[in-house]
Amino acid sequence: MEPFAKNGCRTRIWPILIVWAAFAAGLLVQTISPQLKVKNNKFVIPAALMSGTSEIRPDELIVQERTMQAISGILTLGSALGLAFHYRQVLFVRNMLKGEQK
Amino acid sequence: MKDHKWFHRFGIAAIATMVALLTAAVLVHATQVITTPNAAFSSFNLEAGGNSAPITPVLGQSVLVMGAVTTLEDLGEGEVVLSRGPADEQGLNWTGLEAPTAFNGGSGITAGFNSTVGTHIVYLDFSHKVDVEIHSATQIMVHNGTAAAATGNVTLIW
Repeated sequence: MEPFAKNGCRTRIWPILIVWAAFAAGLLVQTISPQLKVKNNKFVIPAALMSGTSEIRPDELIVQERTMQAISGILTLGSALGLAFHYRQVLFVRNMLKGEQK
Repeated sequence: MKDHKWFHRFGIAAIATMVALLTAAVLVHATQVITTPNAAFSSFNLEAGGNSAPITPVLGQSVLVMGAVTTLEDLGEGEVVLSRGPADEQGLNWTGLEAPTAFNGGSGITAGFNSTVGTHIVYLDFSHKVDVEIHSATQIMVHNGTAAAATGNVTLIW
């Protein structure tokens, strides 16, 4: 039997696929960000950049890092909450059953 | 049948834990990055006569540039507040304190407005050979004027 044969199944599958994709995108954005380290409450510009010849723009680097971290955080948190909501019956089945027994 | 259910629940719990841990890690890092002030720290290791990469300070506000040379027997530190001039009057404007040249001596004042390449801004070492200089009308660089390698660091706060 084909799992996606009915329209009802399709409409249920797509939202969760999008949520999983958003979660993966959040992690991906995290990995492709400039990866500036924070030490002693300061951003650390890699020494390799400093000894190179190309221009360093600390303000732009930091803005880029902040933007990507914000996007990553929103995508990851949003999708994690979405996943928790979608799988609530599977995740919290024991507690729900306990509640019903009472 | 019972084992199958147990594995199923274990798998779900493992995936849920992994998602929760990844989310927490991302959020902790994002929060740290977003709440860190506008300050950039960079170490340098310059060969004799060498220059660092050009650094462009942010436009339209004052930037505190402080640096230190950590090479043994040439330790020192200097600081300067600088700002980039507007587009029709390009150059760097600065005022600050040079690294002291005596063990119990005071620091000299450095100040200026210039766009000429190689203009001295502030010394960072005891022997006054390692300094921050103008690289272009909008950029600075660290120059090592000693006959040996120099190590140190520069911090920009804006």
